[in-house]
Amino acid sequence: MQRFAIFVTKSPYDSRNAESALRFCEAAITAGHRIEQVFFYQSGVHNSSTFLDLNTDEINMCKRWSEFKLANDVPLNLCVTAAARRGIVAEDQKSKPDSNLAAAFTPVGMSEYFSALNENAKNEKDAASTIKSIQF
Amino acid sequence: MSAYLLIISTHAPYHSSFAMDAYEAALGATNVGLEVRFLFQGNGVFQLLSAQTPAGIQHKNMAKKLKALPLFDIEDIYVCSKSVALRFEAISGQNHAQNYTNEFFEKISISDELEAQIVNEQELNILMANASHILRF
Repeated sequence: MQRFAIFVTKSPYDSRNAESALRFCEAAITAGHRIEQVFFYQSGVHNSSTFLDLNTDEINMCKRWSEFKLANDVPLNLCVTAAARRGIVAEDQKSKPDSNLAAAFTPVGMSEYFSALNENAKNEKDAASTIKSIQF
Repeated sequence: MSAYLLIISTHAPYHSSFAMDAYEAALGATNVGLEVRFLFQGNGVFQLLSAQTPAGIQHKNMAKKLKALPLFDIEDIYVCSKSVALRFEAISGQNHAQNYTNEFFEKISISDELEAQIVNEQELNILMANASHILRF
């Protein structure tokens, strides 16, 4: 079993980047591997917006990630600074009454991702426990 | 060989947010004690030019920001020599610039305040092969 941490950097619709990331996650889990977390950085934060509004025959990545989390209980973390810069806000942020951040996603600092990799570095001798970081 | 995260910065400083995103990711990683090494490749080498005057477009000077990297324990900084060579030739109009590295470094800020290692292709391969993780921006 391999442990993975997934780093998503592109907006949905503009590119297939996030779709590839999600399919990778699903395939990895099916194959018996573990996804420790999915982290959204740069334009990847747009995956978390409840304002995504697509035609019925198109893929709504916010819904797809939310379903993925429900089925597999994988943390979906997003960089709170990258999100704020792109107009993705949680309810309690900056006293904004409205939120467009989907409930499945957790706004965190970047350190959340790197802490996982750092823990990895400390356990390096135990190869089975190491986490592989995959950037999409 | 100690475990390290290699951050590769490949974009020019002001056209997009990539340069800042790479910089902020590096600070986030070093902040939790992860060893970070930083590589400038492709158009990323333009971040190192000392003659940046971004005040006119209301941006902060990237080269000045980069000088702070050692203060955050990021001391292993690398510059891809091939990327510098290609761009120096393009800017100067000189083909086969003999001393492109020296001349380029007269123009960039790292010579005094930010120590960087110029790496060739083979050294780059080793740097990447030995990294525990790589993030490219």
